Amino acid sequence: MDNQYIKSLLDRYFEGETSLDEEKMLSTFFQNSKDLPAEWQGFQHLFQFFAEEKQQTAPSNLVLQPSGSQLLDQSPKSATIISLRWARSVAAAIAILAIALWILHPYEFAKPAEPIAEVQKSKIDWSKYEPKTTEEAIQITRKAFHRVGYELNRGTRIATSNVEKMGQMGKLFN
Amino acid sequence: MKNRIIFTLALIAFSTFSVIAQNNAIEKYFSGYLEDQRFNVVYISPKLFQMISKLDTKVLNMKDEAEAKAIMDMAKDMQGLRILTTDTTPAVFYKEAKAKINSKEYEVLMTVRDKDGDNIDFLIKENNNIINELLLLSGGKEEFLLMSFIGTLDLNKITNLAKQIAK
Repeated sequence: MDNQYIKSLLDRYFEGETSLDEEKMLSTFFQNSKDLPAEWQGFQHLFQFFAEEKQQTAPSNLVLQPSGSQLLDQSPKSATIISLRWARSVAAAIAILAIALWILHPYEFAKPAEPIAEVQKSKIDWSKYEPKTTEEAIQITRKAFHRVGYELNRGTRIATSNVEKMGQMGKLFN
Repeated sequence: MKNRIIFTLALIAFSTFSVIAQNNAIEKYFSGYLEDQRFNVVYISPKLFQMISKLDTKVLNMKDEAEAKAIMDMAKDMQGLRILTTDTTPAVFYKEAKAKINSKEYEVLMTVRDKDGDNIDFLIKENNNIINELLLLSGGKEEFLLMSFIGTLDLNKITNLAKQIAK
């Protein structure tokens, strides 16, 4: 095994591109060869360490299921993690619910003090556009309502006359 | 992740605030024209409406008692009336209003276009089947008009008023 090949293997090893067989080859090479170039001595230690670690096996009597006493020791810690996680999701759910309710029923929430609140909420000072006298205000309101009624009537009239026209057209085709 | 959730919640809360703050169409879309000399602006406050609704129908000095009653009836539910009018380039402002007013928020109740080029739009903003705002948008050759009625509006009362006027 020439050093050139080992070098290319090493390069690919650190790129993570070597196959399992090639890695095994590297491992045996470093464990068995004695006089290595100075820059590779570090790698020798590395592969030796890997090999030693690999030989360690779990004791045959290892029980993965925690025994009663171990469970007791561990439970306080795991319990806190779960409860925190729960608290957080519960808090988030409550917050989302509250906001959703608030969005869906903004008027119910704002109802108790609405007339005053409506004035306070707006950024614009509307009071300067108010009529000077109550008399004037009444006349304006009357006119405004009148206009609404008038336009509604006009709209309905046009709509009904159109519907009638459509009906007549329908008769023609029948 | 946690920060992002908090940020999103804060954003939602903030946007809700701003929606409540501008609960009438004139303030939301036309606040820029309030100080404009070309426009006439009138505001009737909830207080004035309270006063009007408590008045005797005779004070209105109207011949038709039923019509006066219909008006008083509507005034009771009102919590604000805002009117924005102008006679300069009414068609331009009408188009602007049509483009600006959010059609998701405001539902069209009625649209009328007659031969003379007069356009009328009735728009309503509903919440749980209660009308919170009624907009009358009008744009013709002579005048641009936007009226915003705020309150818990009853369509029956409005049609009753229309009936009284039509008599």
